[in-house]
Amino acid sequence: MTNSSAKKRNRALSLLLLATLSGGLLASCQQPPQEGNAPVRIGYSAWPGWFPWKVSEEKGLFEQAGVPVTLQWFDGYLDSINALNAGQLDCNSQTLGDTISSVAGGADLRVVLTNDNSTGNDQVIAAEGISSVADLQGKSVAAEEGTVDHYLLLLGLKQAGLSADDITFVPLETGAAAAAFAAAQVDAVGVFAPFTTQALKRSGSTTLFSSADFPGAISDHLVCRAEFVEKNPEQLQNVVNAWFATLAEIKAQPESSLAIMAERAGVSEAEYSEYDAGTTIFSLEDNRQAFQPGDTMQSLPFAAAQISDFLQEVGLAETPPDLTNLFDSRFVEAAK
Amino acid sequence: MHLSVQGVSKSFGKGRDSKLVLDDINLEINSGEFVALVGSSGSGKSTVMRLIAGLEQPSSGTIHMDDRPVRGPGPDRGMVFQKYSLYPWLSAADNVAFGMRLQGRNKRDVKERTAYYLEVVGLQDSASRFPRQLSGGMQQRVAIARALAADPKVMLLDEPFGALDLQIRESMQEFLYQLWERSGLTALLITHDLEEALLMAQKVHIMAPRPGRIVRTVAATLDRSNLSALRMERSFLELREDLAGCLRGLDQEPAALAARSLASTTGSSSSG
Amino acid sequence: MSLRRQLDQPWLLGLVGIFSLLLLWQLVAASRVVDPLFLPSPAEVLAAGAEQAQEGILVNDAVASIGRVLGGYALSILVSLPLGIAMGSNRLVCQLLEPLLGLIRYMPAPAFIPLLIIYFGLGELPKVLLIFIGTLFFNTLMIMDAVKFVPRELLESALTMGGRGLQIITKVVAPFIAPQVLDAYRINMAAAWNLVIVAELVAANEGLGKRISLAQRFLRTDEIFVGLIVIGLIGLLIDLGFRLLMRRTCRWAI
Repeated sequence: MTNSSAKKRNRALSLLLLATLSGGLLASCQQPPQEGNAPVRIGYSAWPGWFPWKVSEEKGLFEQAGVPVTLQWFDGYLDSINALNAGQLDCNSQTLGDTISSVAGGADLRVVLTNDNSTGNDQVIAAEGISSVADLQGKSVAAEEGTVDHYLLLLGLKQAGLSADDITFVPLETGAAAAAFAAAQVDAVGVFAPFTTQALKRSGSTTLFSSADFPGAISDHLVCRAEFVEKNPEQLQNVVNAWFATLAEIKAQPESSLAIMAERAGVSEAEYSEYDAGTTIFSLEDNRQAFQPGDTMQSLPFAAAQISDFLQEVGLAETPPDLTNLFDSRFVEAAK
Repeated sequence: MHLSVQGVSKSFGKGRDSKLVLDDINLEINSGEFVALVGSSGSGKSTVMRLIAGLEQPSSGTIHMDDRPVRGPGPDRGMVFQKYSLYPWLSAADNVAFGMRLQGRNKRDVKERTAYYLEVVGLQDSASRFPRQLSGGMQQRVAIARALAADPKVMLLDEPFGALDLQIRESMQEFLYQLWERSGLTALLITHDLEEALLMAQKVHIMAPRPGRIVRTVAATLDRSNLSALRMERSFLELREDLAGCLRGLDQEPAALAARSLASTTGSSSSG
Repeated sequence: MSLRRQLDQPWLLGLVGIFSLLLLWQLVAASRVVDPLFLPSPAEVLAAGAEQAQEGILVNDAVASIGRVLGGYALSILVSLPLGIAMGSNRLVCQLLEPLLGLIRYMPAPAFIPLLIIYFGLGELPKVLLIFIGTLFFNTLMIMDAVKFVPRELLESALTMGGRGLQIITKVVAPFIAPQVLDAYRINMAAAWNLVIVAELVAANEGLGKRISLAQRFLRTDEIFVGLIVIGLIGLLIDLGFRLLMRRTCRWAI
C-alpha cells in the first residue's frame, strides 16, 4: 500500500501548492496602495465642485505643490466610487452620503477635504404637468441607483410623505438618465450639474426640488482609502495644499480657469457660469469649521450621523456604518 | 411500359470549362427487362441514371417514358442509392411506408403494403428496427422495399451493393435476381462490377469514358437457375473475360486515368 | 460495486471536481491572504444566498432574468428556423442574406444597447431584443449549414418517390437536421444567458445581473458570488434540459 499512500501524499502536496499559488494570484489582483514617490491616483467626475481639479492639472499646480498626481476622469460617477472601493484609486471625489454607504458596506475610507456644498446643483427635474412632489406618485423617475441623486430623490419623497414604493424607479447612470428624460422616456429625473442643463432642454420641464431645499445634506469631498492616508500623509498634505492653491488661481485668473472647467464639463462658458450659485465652494476656513463637531448640518460629524440614519432607513446603507474614524482634519488644519 | 433514351448528350460547366460527360446515348428498356450499364468510374453511367430519374436535364436528346417526355423526378422511376439510402430517424417499416405516405395513400393501404414489401425482402421481423440496427445488406433490402412500395414503373439501382462486403454482395445479387424473377419488375442496374451485371441482366451495355458513350451491347442470355453455380461456369467465365478485355482496352493507363475521371465525376456530381 | 467502477461514474468525478474547488476556496478564504471584503468564504456566500432566498429576492431575480431570456430566445428560435432553412435550401436567398448576416454577427450585441434604448425605451423590450439580436445570427447560420449538409441522396430519394418542395423540407430536411438544430439552440443559449446579464446593467429593477451590479455598489461581494453561482446553475440546468430533449426526440442520432 506504499504506492497509494505516496500517491495520496503527492496529491495533497499538489493541492496545497495549487492553493498557495491561487491565493498568491488573488492577492496580487488587489492593487496595493501607492508607496514612496508613485503618483497619487485621484479620481473625479462631472461636478462643478470637482472641475477645479482639471485646473490644478492643466496649470501644473500639483508639481508646484511637490506631489506627482495621476488625475483619473470618470464618465460615470458610480464607476469612480466602485474604483475607490476596489482599491484602483487612492482617493476619489464623492459625496459624504455616498462615502457613508460605502463604509456601511465595509470600505475603510477617510474624508480629508471638503470641496463644496451642493446648494442647488443637485436637482429632481420633472416633465410638464408635474408641479409638486406629490404629483410624482405613480410616475417613472430615473436616477443613478445608490448614489447622491437617488438619495436626494428619497429625501424629497420623504418630505412630501411619499416613499420609494410610490414611484417607479428607473436605475440609470446620470448621463443616460438625463438623456432618457430629455427623450421623454421617463417622467422625472434626479441629476446633478452639468447634466441638469441637458435634462432641462426638454420643453416644459421644471426643477421640482433641489439640494438648495436640503442645506448640508449633500457635501462633496476628497475621500481617500485609510491605508493610503496612513502610509502617505505628506503626499496627501501636498494634494490638499494644491487644492487651495487652485482655488486661489481660479480667483486670480477667472477667464482661463473658466475655459478649462467649461471644456471639461462639456458646456459653454455661459452655461457653466450658471452653476455658480448651485455649488458653494468651501474656503480653507469653511473647511476647518466644517470638520468640527457640532449640532447642525454645518458640522460634518453631525451631518454624517443624520445622513447615516436616513440611508439605513431607505436601504442605501445595509448595516450601520462605523463613522468614528471617518473624518481626518489634519490636512485642512495644516494646509497652506 | 417503355423507356426510351434517344441521342442524349450531357455537358457540365459553361463555355471554356464545359465538359462533355455523355455523348449520344441511346438505349431502350421494356417492361419486365433487367438491363445493366457497366463501366469504370468516369464513364458517365451514374449520369445516365440521374438523367433517366429526372434529377438532371440532358443537354441534348430526349428521354421518354411511355411516349411522355421526362421532365423531372417522379414515383414512376424509383431509385435505390448506394449510401444514405434510408432515413435514419425512421424505422424500417416507416421507411418503407415513406413513399406511400408522400403519395397520400390511406392508412390501411399503407399498413398492408408495408407489411407485404417487408416480407418480399424477407425483413418482416425487422419492421420496428432502425437503420443503424440493421446490417448493410438489410438496409439495402429495406431501400429496395421502399422503392418498390411506391409502385414505380422502372427501378433504377445506382451501384446498390457497392458499399457492402463481398459475401453480402453475392447474397444480395441472388436476392435481387430472385426478386426480379418473382415480381416481374423492370430494372436498370448501374455497376462497375462486370460479373454482377452479367449475373443478373439480360442486356448489358458497356460504357467507355471521356466522353461517356455506349460502345457495346451484349445480350446475356444465360441459364440463371443457379447463380452460384453460374459464377463458375465456363461459358460465363469466357463471356466475362471477353467483355473484361473490352473494358480494359478502354482504359489504357488505368491508374492515372481512373484517378482523373474519379475527380471529374465527383466534380460533376456536386454541380447537380 | 468496486471502487474502480464507482469512480468511473461520470457524475461522480464531476462532483469530486466541484467539491475540491469548494475546499480550495474555503482554504484560501480562511487564510485571509485576500482581503475578506473581496473574497468571502463559501459559508458566507451560502448565508447571503439563503438570506436572498428567504426575502424572496432570489426567486424574483431568477424569474425576471429567465423570463427575459425565454422571451428573447423564443423569438430567436422562431425566426432563425425558417430563415436558416430558407437560406440553406435556396441559393438565391442564401446569396442575398449570408453576407449581411455574416457582417451583423460580428457586431457585439452589447453595442446595440444605446440604440435599443433610444428606439424601444427602458422597459423589458430592449432587453428581450438584445437577446434576440445577440443569438439570431448564430442560430440562423448554424441551421443554414445543417441544411446545406443534408446528404443529397436523402433528398433525391424523396424526389424519386414523388415528393415535392415543402414536403421535402418538412419530411426530410427537418427531421434530419433536428439534432443539429437542437444542439445549436443549446449552445447559443449560453450567449443568451450572458446577454441578459449585460442587458440588466441598464435600467433594470430586478434580475440576477441587476443584483450583481447593485451588490458591487454596496461592496456585498458575497452577493456577487451568489449571483454568479445561481447564474451558472441555471445555465447548467437549461443545458441539461436541452440534452434531455435531444435524447427524447432524436434518439436515432445519439
